Amino acid sequence: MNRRVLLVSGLAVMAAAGIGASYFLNDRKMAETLAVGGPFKLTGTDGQEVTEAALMGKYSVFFFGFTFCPDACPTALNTFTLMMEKLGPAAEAVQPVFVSIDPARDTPQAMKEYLSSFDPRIMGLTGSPEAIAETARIFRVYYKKSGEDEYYLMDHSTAIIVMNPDFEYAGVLNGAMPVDEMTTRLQEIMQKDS
Amino acid sequence: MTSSLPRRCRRRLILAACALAIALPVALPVVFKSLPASADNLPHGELPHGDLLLRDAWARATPGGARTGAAYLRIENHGDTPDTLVGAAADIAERVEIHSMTMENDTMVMGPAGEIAIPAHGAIELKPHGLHIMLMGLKQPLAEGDSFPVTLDFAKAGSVQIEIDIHGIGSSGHSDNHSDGHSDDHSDEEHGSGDGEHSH
Repeated sequence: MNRRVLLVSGLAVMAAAGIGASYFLNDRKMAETLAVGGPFKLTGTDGQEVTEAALMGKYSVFFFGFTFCPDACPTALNTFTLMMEKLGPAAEAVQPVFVSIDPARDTPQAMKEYLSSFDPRIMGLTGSPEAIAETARIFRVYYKKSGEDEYYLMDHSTAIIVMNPDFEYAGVLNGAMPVDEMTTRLQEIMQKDS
Repeated sequence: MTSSLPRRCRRRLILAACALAIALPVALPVVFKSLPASADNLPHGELPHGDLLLRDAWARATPGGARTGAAYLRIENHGDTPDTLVGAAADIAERVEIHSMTMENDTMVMGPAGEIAIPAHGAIELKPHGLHIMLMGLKQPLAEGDSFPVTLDFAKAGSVQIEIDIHGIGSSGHSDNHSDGHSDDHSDEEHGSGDGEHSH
Protein backbone atom coordinates (compact mmCIF):
# COMPACT_ATOMS: atom_id res chain seq x y z
CA MET A 1 0.00 0.00 0.00
CA ASN A 2 1.04 3.59 -0.52
CA ARG A 3 3.21 4.68 2.41
CA ARG A 4 1.48 8.02 2.59
CA VAL A 5 -1.93 6.39 2.90
CA LEU A 6 -0.55 4.25 5.71
CA LEU A 7 0.83 7.27 7.49
CA VAL A 8 -2.37 9.29 7.17
CA SER A 9 -4.59 6.44 8.29
CA GLY A 10 -2.19 5.68 11.13
CA LEU A 11 -2.38 9.26 12.28
CA ALA A 12 -6.14 9.19 11.97
CA VAL A 13 -6.36 6.11 14.14
CA MET A 14 -4.08 7.69 16.75
CA ALA A 15 -6.09 10.89 16.71
CA ALA A 16 -9.29 8.97 17.20
CA ALA A 17 -7.73 7.11 20.08
CA GLY A 18 -6.56 10.39 21.54
CA ILE A 19 -10.00 11.91 21.27
CA GLY A 20 -11.53 8.84 22.82
CA ALA A 21 -9.05 8.87 25.68
CA SER A 22 -9.62 12.56 26.23
CA TYR A 23 -13.35 11.97 26.36
CA PHE A 24 -12.91 9.29 28.97
CA LEU A 25 -10.40 11.31 30.94
CA ASN A 26 -12.86 14.16 31.17
CA ASP A 27 -15.56 11.81 32.27
CA ARG A 28 -15.89 12.03 36.00
CA LYS A 29 -16.33 8.30 36.43
CA MET A 30 -13.06 7.67 34.70
CA ALA A 31 -11.37 10.33 36.81
CA GLU A 32 -12.26 8.39 39.89
CA THR A 33 -10.11 5.51 38.82
CA LEU A 34 -7.18 7.81 38.15
CA ALA A 35 -5.40 9.12 41.22
CA VAL A 36 -6.80 12.46 42.30
CA GLY A 37 -5.54 13.59 45.66
CA GLY A 38 -2.94 11.76 47.66
CA PRO A 39 -0.32 12.03 50.39
CA PHE A 40 0.95 15.49 51.14
CA LYS A 41 3.19 17.34 53.59
CA LEU A 42 2.15 20.91 54.32
CA THR A 43 2.17 23.44 57.15
CA GLY A 44 -0.77 24.27 59.41
CA THR A 45 -1.69 27.67 60.78
CA ASP A 46 0.41 27.14 63.90
CA GLY A 47 3.45 26.32 61.82
CA GLN A 48 3.10 22.59 62.47
CA GLU A 49 3.65 19.93 59.83
CA VAL A 50 0.42 18.41 58.57
CA THR A 51 0.10 15.30 56.44
CA GLU A 52 -2.86 13.29 55.20
CA ALA A 53 -2.72 11.35 58.48
CA ALA A 54 -4.46 14.28 60.15
CA LEU A 55 -7.40 13.88 57.80
CA MET A 56 -8.02 10.16 57.88
CA GLY A 57 -11.30 9.13 59.46
CA LYS A 58 -13.26 12.05 58.02
CA TYR A 59 -14.44 13.28 54.63
CA SER A 60 -12.02 16.07 53.85
CA VAL A 61 -13.13 18.82 51.52
CA PHE A 62 -10.22 20.62 49.83
CA PHE A 63 -10.54 24.18 48.48
CA PHE A 64 -7.49 25.81 46.91
CA GLY A 65 -7.34 29.62 47.05
CA PHE A 66 -5.44 32.58 48.43
CA THR A 67 -6.08 35.37 50.92
CA PHE A 68 -5.43 38.18 48.44
CA CYS A 69 -8.62 37.14 46.68
CA PRO A 70 -11.49 39.52 47.47
CA ASP A 71 -14.46 37.61 46.15
CA ALA A 72 -14.36 33.93 45.25
CA CYS A 73 -12.31 32.71 48.21
CA PRO A 74 -14.27 34.49 50.95
CA THR A 75 -17.41 33.25 49.20
CA ALA A 76 -16.26 29.63 49.23
CA LEU A 77 -15.09 29.83 52.85
CA ASN A 78 -18.36 31.42 53.86
CA THR A 79 -20.20 28.64 52.05
CA PHE A 80 -18.09 26.11 53.98
CA THR A 81 -19.06 27.89 57.18
CA LEU A 82 -22.75 27.78 56.38
CA MET A 83 -22.52 24.20 55.16
CA MET A 84 -20.98 23.01 58.43
CA GLU A 85 -23.89 24.65 60.25
CA LYS A 86 -26.39 23.09 57.89
CA LEU A 87 -24.93 19.60 58.29
CA GLY A 88 -25.58 19.71 62.02
CA PRO A 89 -24.32 16.51 63.72
CA ALA A 90 -23.19 15.15 60.34
CA ALA A 91 -20.54 17.87 60.32
CA GLU A 92 -18.54 15.68 62.73
CA ALA A 93 -17.61 13.52 59.75
CA VAL A 94 -16.47 16.45 57.58
CA GLN A 95 -13.16 18.30 57.59
CA PRO A 96 -13.03 21.43 55.41
CA VAL A 97 -9.53 22.35 54.27
CA PHE A 98 -8.32 25.61 52.72
CA VAL A 99 -4.99 25.23 50.94
CA SER A 100 -3.16 28.32 49.77
CA ILE A 101 -1.79 28.38 46.26
CA ASP A 102 -0.04 31.65 47.11
CA PRO A 103 2.44 30.54 49.80
CA ALA A 104 4.66 33.60 49.23
CA ARG A 105 2.05 35.84 50.84
CA ASP A 106 0.01 33.28 52.76
CA THR A 107 2.19 32.52 55.74
CA PRO A 108 0.74 30.34 58.52
CA GLN A 109 0.05 33.52 60.51
CA ALA A 110 -1.75 35.18 57.60
CA MET A 111 -3.84 32.04 57.09
CA LYS A 112 -4.71 31.90 60.78
CA GLU A 113 -5.85 35.50 60.85
CA TYR A 114 -7.86 35.11 57.65
CA LEU A 115 -9.59 31.94 58.78
CA SER A 116 -10.51 33.48 62.12
CA SER A 117 -13.38 35.13 60.24
CA PHE A 118 -14.85 31.77 59.26
CA ASP A 119 -15.82 28.48 60.91
CA PRO A 120 -13.03 27.43 63.31
CA ARG A 121 -13.26 23.87 61.99
CA ILE A 122 -11.77 24.92 58.64
CA MET A 123 -8.17 23.74 58.48
CA GLY A 124 -5.72 26.11 56.82
CA LEU A 125 -2.68 24.74 55.05
CA THR A 126 0.25 26.44 53.39
CA GLY A 127 3.87 25.49 52.84
CA SER A 128 6.91 26.01 50.68
CA PRO A 129 6.27 26.82 47.01
CA GLU A 130 7.56 23.36 46.15
CA ALA A 131 5.28 21.58 48.62
CA ILE A 132 2.29 23.58 47.41
CA ALA A 133 3.12 22.87 43.78
CA GLU A 134 3.40 19.16 44.52
CA THR A 135 0.10 19.10 46.42
CA ALA A 136 -1.70 21.00 43.67
CA ARG A 137 -0.29 18.56 41.15
CA ILE A 138 -1.55 15.58 43.16
CA PHE A 139 -4.99 17.13 43.46
CA ARG A 140 -4.94 18.20 39.81
CA VAL A 141 -5.58 21.80 40.72
CA TYR A 142 -4.50 24.51 38.30
CA TYR A 143 -3.09 27.83 39.47
CA LYS A 144 -1.07 30.58 37.87
CA LYS A 145 0.30 33.91 39.02
CA SER A 146 -1.06 36.89 37.12
CA GLY A 147 0.49 40.34 37.44
CA GLU A 148 4.00 41.32 38.30
CA ASP A 149 4.10 43.62 41.31
CA GLU A 150 3.15 43.16 44.96
CA TYR A 151 -0.54 43.17 44.10
CA TYR A 152 -0.35 40.12 41.85
CA LEU A 153 -3.39 37.90 41.61
CA MET A 154 -3.78 34.18 41.05
CA ASP A 155 -5.81 32.38 38.45
CA HIS A 156 -6.91 29.10 39.98
CA SER A 157 -9.38 26.29 39.59
CA THR A 158 -12.42 26.33 41.79
CA ALA A 159 -12.83 22.58 41.96
CA ILE A 160 -13.25 21.31 45.51
CA ILE A 161 -11.89 17.80 45.96
CA VAL A 162 -13.61 15.48 48.42
CA MET A 163 -11.52 12.69 49.94
CA ASN A 164 -13.12 9.87 51.95
CA PRO A 165 -12.06 8.71 55.44
CA ASP A 166 -9.49 6.38 53.87
CA PHE A 167 -8.13 9.40 52.01
CA GLU A 168 -9.24 8.17 48.63
CA TYR A 169 -10.88 10.40 46.05
CA ALA A 170 -14.64 10.47 46.66
CA GLY A 171 -15.98 13.28 44.48
CA VAL A 172 -15.79 16.89 43.45
CA LEU A 173 -17.70 20.09 44.33
CA ASN A 174 -17.28 23.65 43.13
CA GLY A 175 -16.48 26.82 45.07
CA ALA A 176 -19.17 28.77 43.26
CA MET A 177 -21.98 26.43 44.36
CA PRO A 178 -24.62 27.93 46.62
CA VAL A 179 -24.64 26.39 50.10
CA ASP A 180 -27.78 24.29 49.56
CA GLU A 181 -26.35 22.69 46.47
CA MET A 182 -22.92 22.11 48.00
CA THR A 183 -24.40 20.53 51.12
CA THR A 184 -26.71 18.25 49.16
CA ARG A 185 -23.95 17.22 46.78
CA LEU A 186 -21.57 16.49 49.66
CA GLN A 187 -24.20 14.40 51.42
CA GLU A 188 -24.74 12.45 48.19
CA ILE A 189 -21.02 11.81 47.92
CA MET A 190 -20.83 10.62 51.53
CA GLN A 191 -23.83 8.32 51.13
CA LYS A 192 -22.62 6.85 47.87
CA ASP A 193 -19.23 6.18 49.34
CA SER A 194 -20.37 4.52 52.57
CA MET B 1 -33.24 108.55 51.10
CA THR B 2 -36.72 107.34 51.66
CA SER B 3 -37.42 110.38 53.77
CA SER B 4 -37.30 112.48 50.60
CA LEU B 5 -40.04 110.42 48.97
CA PRO B 6 -43.67 111.36 49.21
CA ARG B 7 -45.48 109.53 52.03
CA ARG B 8 -47.55 107.42 49.64
CA CYS B 9 -44.46 106.03 47.93
CA ARG B 10 -42.87 105.21 51.27
CA ARG B 11 -45.90 103.29 52.39
CA ARG B 12 -45.88 101.25 49.18
CA LEU B 13 -42.21 100.54 49.65
CA ILE B 14 -42.82 99.25 53.15
CA LEU B 15 -45.72 97.16 51.89
CA ALA B 16 -43.51 95.66 49.18
CA ALA B 17 -40.76 94.89 51.71
CA CYS B 18 -43.28 93.13 53.96
CA ALA B 19 -44.64 91.12 51.06
CA LEU B 20 -41.12 90.07 50.12
CA ALA B 21 -40.32 89.15 53.70
CA ILE B 22 -43.27 86.79 53.69
CA ALA B 23 -42.95 85.47 50.17
CA LEU B 24 -39.23 84.75 50.13
CA PRO B 25 -39.15 82.13 52.90
CA VAL B 26 -42.07 80.45 51.18
CA ALA B 27 -40.60 80.57 47.67
CA LEU B 28 -36.99 79.62 48.34
CA PRO B 29 -37.53 75.97 49.41
CA VAL B 30 -39.61 75.45 46.27
CA VAL B 31 -36.73 76.76 44.18
CA PHE B 32 -34.20 74.55 45.97
CA LYS B 33 -36.35 71.47 45.63
CA SER B 34 -36.29 71.81 41.89
CA LEU B 35 -32.48 71.85 41.80
CA PRO B 36 -30.57 68.59 41.21
CA ALA B 37 -30.92 66.60 44.41
CA SER B 38 -28.11 65.52 46.66
CA ALA B 39 -27.91 62.02 48.07
CA ASP B 40 -29.53 63.12 51.29
CA ASN B 41 -33.10 63.30 50.16
CA LEU B 42 -33.13 60.40 47.71
CA PRO B 43 -34.19 56.81 48.20
CA HIS B 44 -31.36 55.22 50.14
CA GLY B 45 -28.45 54.21 47.95
CA GLU B 46 -29.26 56.21 44.79
CA LEU B 47 -26.99 58.90 43.42
CA PRO B 48 -27.71 60.71 40.14
CA HIS B 49 -24.69 61.93 38.18
CA GLY B 50 -25.44 63.61 34.87
CA ASP B 51 -27.36 61.07 32.82
CA LEU B 52 -26.22 58.29 35.08
CA LEU B 53 -27.79 56.88 38.21
CA LEU B 54 -25.49 55.07 40.62
CA ARG B 55 -27.16 52.81 43.13
CA ASP B 56 -26.82 50.01 45.65
CA ALA B 57 -23.12 50.52 46.26
CA TRP B 58 -21.86 47.91 48.72
CA ALA B 59 -18.87 45.86 49.77
CA ARG B 60 -18.33 42.83 51.98
CA ALA B 61 -16.57 43.02 55.31
CA THR B 62 -13.06 41.67 54.95
CA PRO B 63 -11.73 38.52 56.68
CA GLY B 64 -9.03 38.98 59.32
CA GLY B 65 -5.84 40.50 57.95
CA ALA B 66 -7.14 40.61 54.39
CA ARG B 67 -5.39 43.17 52.20
CA THR B 68 -7.92 43.20 49.40
CA GLY B 69 -11.58 44.03 49.18
CA ALA B 70 -14.17 44.39 46.47
CA ALA B 71 -16.94 46.95 46.00
CA TYR B 72 -20.00 46.53 43.84
CA LEU B 73 -22.76 48.75 42.50
CA ARG B 74 -25.27 49.23 39.71
CA ILE B 75 -24.76 52.01 37.16
CA GLU B 76 -27.72 53.03 35.00
CA ASN B 77 -27.46 55.29 31.98
CA HIS B 78 -30.68 57.23 31.48
CA GLY B 79 -29.23 59.33 28.69
CA ASP B 80 -29.28 59.01 24.91
CA THR B 81 -25.53 58.60 24.53
CA PRO B 82 -23.25 55.89 25.89
CA ASP B 83 -20.74 56.62 28.64
CA THR B 84 -17.67 54.74 29.87
CA LEU B 85 -16.40 53.93 33.33
CA VAL B 86 -12.72 54.69 32.96
CA GLY B 87 -11.36 54.39 36.48
CA ALA B 88 -11.82 54.44 40.21
CA ALA B 89 -9.97 55.76 43.25
CA ALA B 90 -10.31 55.46 47.00
CA ASP B 91 -8.33 56.58 50.01
CA ILE B 92 -8.99 53.30 51.80
CA ALA B 93 -6.62 51.32 49.57
CA GLU B 94 -3.19 51.80 48.02
CA ARG B 95 -4.42 50.87 44.57
CA VAL B 96 -7.91 50.75 43.11
CA GLU B 97 -8.82 49.24 39.75
CA ILE B 98 -11.88 47.90 37.98
CA HIS B 99 -11.46 44.13 37.74
CA SER B 100 -13.35 41.33 36.14
CA MET B 101 -13.71 37.75 37.21
CA THR B 102 -14.48 35.17 34.60
CA MET B 103 -14.56 31.41 34.57
CA GLU B 104 -12.56 29.71 31.86
CA ASN B 105 -13.54 26.07 32.08
CA ASP B 106 -13.11 25.40 35.79
CA THR B 107 -10.50 28.09 36.28
CA MET B 108 -11.23 31.46 37.79
CA VAL B 109 -9.41 34.28 36.05
CA MET B 110 -9.27 37.73 37.64
CA GLY B 111 -7.65 40.89 36.41
CA PRO B 112 -8.00 44.48 35.21
CA ALA B 113 -11.08 44.88 33.08
CA GLY B 114 -10.09 48.01 31.17
CA GLU B 115 -12.75 50.59 30.46
CA ILE B 116 -16.36 49.55 30.84
CA ALA B 117 -18.96 50.83 28.38
CA ILE B 118 -22.38 51.81 29.71
CA PRO B 119 -24.85 51.80 26.82
CA ALA B 120 -27.45 54.53 26.36
CA HIS B 121 -30.63 53.59 28.21
CA GLY B 122 -28.73 50.64 29.60
CA ALA B 123 -26.96 49.60 32.78
CA ILE B 124 -23.96 47.71 34.06
CA GLU B 125 -23.81 45.70 37.23
CA LEU B 126 -20.69 45.25 39.31
CA LYS B 127 -21.41 42.19 41.44
CA PRO B 128 -19.79 39.10 42.96
CA HIS B 129 -18.28 36.69 40.44
CA GLY B 130 -18.23 39.47 37.85
CA LEU B 131 -17.01 43.02 37.55
CA HIS B 132 -15.91 44.66 40.77
CA ILE B 133 -14.00 47.62 42.11
CA MET B 134 -10.83 45.95 43.33
CA LEU B 135 -9.30 47.51 46.41
CA MET B 136 -5.68 46.44 46.80
CA GLY B 137 -3.49 47.17 49.77
CA LEU B 138 -6.29 48.05 52.18
CA LYS B 139 -5.17 50.56 54.77
CA GLN B 140 -7.78 49.33 57.20
CA PRO B 141 -10.18 46.39 57.39
CA LEU B 142 -13.66 46.78 55.98
CA ALA B 143 -15.97 46.45 58.97
CA GLU B 144 -19.63 45.58 58.63
CA GLY B 145 -21.87 48.58 59.22
CA ASP B 146 -19.23 51.11 58.22
CA SER B 147 -19.00 52.85 54.86
CA PHE B 148 -16.25 54.46 52.84
CA PRO B 149 -16.07 56.78 49.80
CA VAL B 150 -14.96 55.77 46.34
CA THR B 151 -14.50 58.13 43.39
CA LEU B 152 -15.63 56.82 40.01
CA ASP B 153 -14.45 58.43 36.75
CA PHE B 154 -16.70 58.46 33.73
CA ALA B 155 -15.59 59.63 30.28
CA LYS B 156 -18.67 61.78 29.73
CA ALA B 157 -20.22 62.39 33.12
CA GLY B 158 -16.92 63.07 34.84
CA SER B 159 -15.94 62.09 38.36
CA VAL B 160 -18.28 61.45 41.24
CA GLN B 161 -17.80 60.31 44.80
CA ILE B 162 -20.07 57.62 46.13
CA GLU B 163 -20.38 56.08 49.57
CA ILE B 164 -19.98 52.28 49.75
CA ASP B 165 -21.95 50.51 52.50
CA ILE B 166 -20.14 47.57 54.12
CA HIS B 167 -22.25 44.44 54.49
CA GLY B 168 -21.44 41.17 56.25
CA ILE B 169 -18.71 38.86 55.08
CA GLY B 170 -21.14 36.52 53.32
CA SER B 171 -23.55 39.09 51.95
CA SER B 172 -24.83 38.88 48.41
CA GLY B 173 -25.74 42.51 48.14
CA HIS B 174 -29.00 44.36 48.50
CA SER B 175 -31.04 41.33 47.65
CA ASP B 176 -30.82 40.08 51.21
CA ASN B 177 -31.51 41.96 54.39
CA HIS B 178 -29.31 39.78 56.52
CA SER B 179 -25.81 41.04 56.94
CA ASP B 180 -23.85 37.82 56.84
CA GLY B 181 -26.23 35.16 55.72
CA HIS B 182 -25.88 33.25 58.97
CA SER B 183 -29.55 33.41 59.63
CA ASP B 184 -30.68 32.44 56.16
CA ASP B 185 -29.77 29.96 53.49
CA HIS B 186 -29.55 32.41 50.65
CA SER B 187 -25.90 33.26 50.73
CA ASP B 188 -25.67 32.63 47.02
CA GLU B 189 -25.79 35.33 44.39
CA GLU B 190 -28.54 35.92 41.91
CA HIS B 191 -26.38 35.36 38.86
CA GLY B 192 -25.54 32.08 37.23
CA SER B 193 -28.26 29.65 36.36
CA GLY B 194 -30.86 32.34 36.55
CA ASP B 195 -33.57 29.78 36.83
CA GLY B 196 -35.50 31.86 39.30
CA GLU B 197 -35.45 29.34 42.09
CA HIS B 198 -34.62 31.96 44.68
CA SER B 199 -37.34 32.87 47.08
CA HIS B 200 -36.47 35.73 49.37
